[in-house]
Amino acid sequence: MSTMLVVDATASMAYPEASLGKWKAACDVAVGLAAVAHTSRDPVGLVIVSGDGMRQLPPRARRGIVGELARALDDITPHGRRPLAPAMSGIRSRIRLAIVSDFLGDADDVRRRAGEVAAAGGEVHAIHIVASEELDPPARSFLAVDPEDATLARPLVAESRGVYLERFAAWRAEVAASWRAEGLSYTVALVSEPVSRVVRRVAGAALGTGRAAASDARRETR
Amino acid sequence: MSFTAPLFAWVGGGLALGVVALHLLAWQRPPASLLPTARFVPDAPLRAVSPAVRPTDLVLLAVRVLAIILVSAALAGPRFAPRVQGLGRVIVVDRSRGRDAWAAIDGVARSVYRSGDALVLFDSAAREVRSPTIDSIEAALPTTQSAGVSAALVAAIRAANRLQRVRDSVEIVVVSPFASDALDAATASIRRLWPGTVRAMRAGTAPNDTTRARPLEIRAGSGDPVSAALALAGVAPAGAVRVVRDWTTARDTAWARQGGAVVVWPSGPAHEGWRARAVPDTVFGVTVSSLVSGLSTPPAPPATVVAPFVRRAAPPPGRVVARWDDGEPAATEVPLGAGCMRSVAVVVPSTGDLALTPAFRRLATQLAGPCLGGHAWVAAPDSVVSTVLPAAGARDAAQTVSAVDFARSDVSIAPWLLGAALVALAAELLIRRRAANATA
Repeated sequence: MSTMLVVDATASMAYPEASLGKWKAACDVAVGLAAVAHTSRDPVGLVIVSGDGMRQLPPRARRGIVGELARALDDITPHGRRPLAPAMSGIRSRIRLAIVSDFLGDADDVRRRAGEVAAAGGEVHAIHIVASEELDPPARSFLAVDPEDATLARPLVAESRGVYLERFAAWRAEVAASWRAEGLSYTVALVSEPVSRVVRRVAGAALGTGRAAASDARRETR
Repeated sequence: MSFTAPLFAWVGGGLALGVVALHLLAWQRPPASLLPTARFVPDAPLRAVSPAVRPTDLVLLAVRVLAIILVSAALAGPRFAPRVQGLGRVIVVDRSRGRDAWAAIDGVARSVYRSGDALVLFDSAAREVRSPTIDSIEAALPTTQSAGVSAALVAAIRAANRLQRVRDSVEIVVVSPFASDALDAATASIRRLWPGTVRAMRAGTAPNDTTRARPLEIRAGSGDPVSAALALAGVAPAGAVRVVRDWTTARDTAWARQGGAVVVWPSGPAHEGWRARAVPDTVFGVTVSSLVSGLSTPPAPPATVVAPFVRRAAPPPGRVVARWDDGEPAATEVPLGAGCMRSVAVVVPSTGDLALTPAFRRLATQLAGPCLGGHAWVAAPDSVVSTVLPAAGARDAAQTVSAVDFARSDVSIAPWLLGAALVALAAELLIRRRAANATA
């Protein structure tokens, strides 16, 4: 079965600004999953969605394809704003689809398209990249500006911090529940987490091992 | 420096600190930072209260604090008067009793006076001496006008209130003979206006309560009719009176100069200086007119005696105190020093009972009275002086005088502070408006 990796390279992935931790984590996870698929002699392809548009590498099983994918990812710096769902429109039905994103864009459209792929006999994995700074923002007061929408600026001060944490946690739980409700694989990848562990969880889910899925579920519950 | 109402100073200090704290906790826009999950931050105004790490508008802050401090200082009433330790005195000196009493008064006043004391001189009017020294007392000229202690006390209290600002305690010292006419009905009430001590120092006369009433002195031979009449009348004159039936001596003259009344009533031939009549005659009657002395005693009614008095001489010129029925003077009086010499040209027969009649006794009593006019005066009793001028003041009066004094003292700087505060507030308005224009 061919494996297609869809990697989100919009501006929201370029965070934190200094380390680009979310983007690097997304790249590492994508390369790791490509390597796992290539080991199984499955063709591996890549779609990178950034503000400039999409860059596609069709699935190939030849040697060096993982390196090509890695170089393609290295050439990209996340920026701009663009929906992720259109990138999935040309994907064939029976395919293994891995979506690496923070799902802060068109999350509903992406999930809907992923559900169609799954309904057509495909296999869909959602890897949700979350930075530690998003889970625990700096304690100092600052004006939080959305990197994809400069008009969205709100003061994150001590009084609003608690509400932010509650809303963000509720949204994550809602996203996880909606993906799983459609029978799709959903994995949270923390930036601070070792990539190998994330890859193992995703691969385990791909193999259908209930152990990995249960572990994910427990992790999400926490 | 001290404050009349320090509470305002404390409140002003607290307000100033509050303004500084509010300035450091200024509303300001927090620094912007990217956060992909910014949509989960609750929507709120972009300005938030946060500690100003780098305080701005320091000039504006300084002007505001200055305005608050100036207003609070003005309301607190700062007092810069230096407080001088020790007792201050207001020396009130009576110079109304002539030169004879002045020597003693001057000595007592100078022994009490110390540098920095206030000095009030009075006779019928009171006058405070500006920048007095001990020589100011000596330089004062005694007068013979009637004294008014009440007017002197008013001036003294005014000076004492002023002296109170620079002294811990102030007392009023009145140096006077305290003649009975120097005290009036207002003296006691004026005294009560001063809460402090008033020390009455009698000088120029002996204390009245410790001196016996001086008996009438009569120098006459045995069986003298005038002496008998006065003895029957029981005369005890208010002043010093000496009746001389023989010849006057130098001692009599000196005694009169010290305030006594010497009644020269010769029983024999006329004295030197008297005008002898060429032919003795009689007009059968002599009358003593109502004698109004300088004392506060009421005048006695006229006394008339009808008898065949033989007129051999006329008394020397002077103030007429008795007349014959034809109008010629029968007795005259001449001032002498603080006293007087009274000459009586009424020859009393040594035989018969004329001298024993009630009419003659009244006549003799009035002729043996104290001097007329203003030279003779009687000191008020010590008990009267201590009652009218008690040493300790009234407590309620103290509060009244103290409140009046503090309310009107050292407030001159308050208007200036308020004016400076208004200037500071105007400057604050300009600075704030200029800063707003710069921001816009």
